[in-house]
Amino acid sequence: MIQPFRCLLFSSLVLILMHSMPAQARIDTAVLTPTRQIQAYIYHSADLTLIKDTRTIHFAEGMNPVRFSWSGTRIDPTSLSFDISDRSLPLEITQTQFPAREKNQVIWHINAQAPCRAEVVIRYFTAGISWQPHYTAILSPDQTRMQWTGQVRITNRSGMDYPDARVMLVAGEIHLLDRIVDLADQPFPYGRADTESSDSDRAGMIARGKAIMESAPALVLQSDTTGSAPKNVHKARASDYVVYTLDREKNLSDGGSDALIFIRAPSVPVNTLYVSDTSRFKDAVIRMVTFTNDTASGLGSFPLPGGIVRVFQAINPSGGLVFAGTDTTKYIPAGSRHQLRLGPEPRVSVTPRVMGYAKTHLTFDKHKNLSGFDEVRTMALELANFSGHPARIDIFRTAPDSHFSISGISEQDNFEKIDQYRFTFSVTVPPGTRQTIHYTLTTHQGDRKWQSAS
Amino acid sequence: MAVRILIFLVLVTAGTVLTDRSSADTRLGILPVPEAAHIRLSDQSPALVQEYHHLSLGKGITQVAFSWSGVRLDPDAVLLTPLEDPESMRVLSTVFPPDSTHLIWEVDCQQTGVVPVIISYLPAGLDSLVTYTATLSADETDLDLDARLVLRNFSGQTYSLATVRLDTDTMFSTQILDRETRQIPFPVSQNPAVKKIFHWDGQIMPHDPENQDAYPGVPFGYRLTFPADNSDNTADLRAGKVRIFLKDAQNRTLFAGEDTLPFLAKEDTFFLETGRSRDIVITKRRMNTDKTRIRRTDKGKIQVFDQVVSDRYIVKNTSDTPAEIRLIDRISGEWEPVDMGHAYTLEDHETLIFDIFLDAEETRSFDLTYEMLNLFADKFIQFNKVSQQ
Repeated sequence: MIQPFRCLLFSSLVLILMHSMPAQARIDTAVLTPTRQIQAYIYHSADLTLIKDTRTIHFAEGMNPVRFSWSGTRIDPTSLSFDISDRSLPLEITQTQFPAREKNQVIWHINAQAPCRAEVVIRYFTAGISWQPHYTAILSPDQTRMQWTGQVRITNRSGMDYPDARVMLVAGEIHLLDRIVDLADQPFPYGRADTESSDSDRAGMIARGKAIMESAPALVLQSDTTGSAPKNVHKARASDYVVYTLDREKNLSDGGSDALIFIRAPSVPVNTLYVSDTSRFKDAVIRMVTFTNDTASGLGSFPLPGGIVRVFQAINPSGGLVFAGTDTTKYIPAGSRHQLRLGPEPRVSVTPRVMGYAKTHLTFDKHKNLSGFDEVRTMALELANFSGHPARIDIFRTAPDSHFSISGISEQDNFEKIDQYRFTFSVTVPPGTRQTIHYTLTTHQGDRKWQSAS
Repeated sequence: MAVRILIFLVLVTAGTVLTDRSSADTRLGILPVPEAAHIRLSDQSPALVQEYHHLSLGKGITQVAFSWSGVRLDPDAVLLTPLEDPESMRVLSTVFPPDSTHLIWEVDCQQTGVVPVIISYLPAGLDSLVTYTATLSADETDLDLDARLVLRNFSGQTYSLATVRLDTDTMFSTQILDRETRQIPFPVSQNPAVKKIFHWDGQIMPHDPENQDAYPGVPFGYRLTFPADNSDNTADLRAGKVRIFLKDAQNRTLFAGEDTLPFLAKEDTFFLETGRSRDIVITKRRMNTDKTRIRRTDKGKIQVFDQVVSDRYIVKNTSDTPAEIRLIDRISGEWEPVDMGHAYTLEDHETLIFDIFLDAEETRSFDLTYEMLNLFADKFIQFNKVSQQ
């Protein structure tokens, strides 16, 4: 299924030099110029890949129309550019022409004041190539360290082979006005002057693009090696993007799958944390593993792109593992602490109990009608840890409104008010034990909300 | 489909055409070839086409026919004007025959001779766009702007050699066929000054991003300032899509994002958003709300009160480079500051702008305490916010 597709691309994706003006021509004399180098910048946050195709062309004196055509792939024609690497050469790009009645074709008109040979770079955006990081974390038996491995899988659904490409993976949220796949599927490169506001046309175009996308065969990055040794990936920042450059050229074509390792840290310090937050997790206590993305942890000085994390727990030194949970991380900035959410932990519990209840400060209006009161709850948070390890438990509570006060806290050092609605306790409970936090919560109702401020 | 715009001198009995429009007629016409065609582009579509012709006219009244086929144009916007001497020829009337694909001018010429004229019309489907490619230096302080005019011709008419005029200073010659698009570079008189900023607006950004499963990041981009000292009065930037490329430290060129540039003239500034950064994290927390100066009816019903509010902003830069952040937030209604923990400027009565410079990996926190005055609790509560009159 894939083979004829590729052959079609090979024959159509050529750069042609012509001797005569191309308008309506049916017979061309052409010089085919082979690609010298392909660079592919594959973006993570959008269906966008920037391709740079470097070639060498001989220009004759005078006007040189250079034609570039494609089929079966999703090139955004508005992104096409023709750059001459050596600006000192006597070459000028006078016009870019998208010929009438010729889809997927562009002609650059290059005026040469003298014959010369030039390296040129054809630059364009294409859709259908993506990369997705995913991670594996193996917690040590004592849950104080983890082995962290980041892998990346590159998928090519562009319909086009890119042999021996220099591959750059770009992480960061890019701002786009249009989807590249929509621009690639437009019948005319910049739309029609008199029909571009047609919503139905646009919707149809998007639907067609989606159908092609879903029906196209998936081509997966073919690794040059089959061993498990991590490839050397060079990381660099550019503005607010991080660029991961693979150490060698890759065939972005069909073939087997080989996930590339882009980060490996053998011994990242971790803390295990249990979180109770009824506003997010209802009654469950969630097990979290926290770590810091920094050099001291062995993770380096770069952010980590978001992806699925599969966490395993080592149970003995001989390699025995159990599956601990899975989470999808957000982007993890350099130097920041991150929590992996592993799911409910039934061996750790937090049970809130109302141990005492009273109504105080009843107020009445001029007509002796009840106008307000305070509710005073004596609260007990019963914590239990039967996980086999010391458990740090963070308990978050959210008040229904801002008219409340807290007093009589038994764990005052472990209490923090987050904002006018939320407060938290953070307590470490030894294994196999129970512990109770006491506090008094007073909520003001009715006119008491106002009287306390009068 | 045959597509053409033709003009010809009609050598027929004038009365046949003018008095009996529905009957058949015969015509013998001289087809003048346009000597030049100018396509004049304005900021607003559509383009105006002006064709230059030399018409051989006899003294007295002559009919000049203008016809079109496969081209959509507004017949009321077709003009025939003499090029040189305005008295050399006068258009007496215009006849629109029923088929709506041609018109006939009745012109009165002072003397026999060749009269240079301009025929102007507005064909549908011929227009232009402007697109920009901006290349930023690796340190993001210099921007090189390349502009391209995109000429789209779906009018049905081919222009073999047209002079395209973008403005009084910018023109070029090109051929453009029907259903063809051409892209032509044109100069930008001066590159705008550029400054990278992060742009957080409290009205649209989440206030607790670290507890969000999908945090979109703080918009970042470049504030462009068009030079004020540009002496060229025509210097401006037309509206169009800008694609921004960035040279990195290895001298590679990375695509950094795109946005739409509005029309900009001298001294104008504009924030060009290129992406979102998750290295900047801004958290806003309401720490306290105290009601004061409560005013009641004789029956004790609350009518008016004031409210002292404390908001905390925690601004974190996790990246290894400094960051300039423009933080915008609003306090609606009547209010006055109590203890504002950071300098700000007021854009209007409710919009506060904070310009915050953070060093690499710096976190800064500040509180704003302000008093909202004369809040209505019962009646007229719509006046707790200021409406636009």
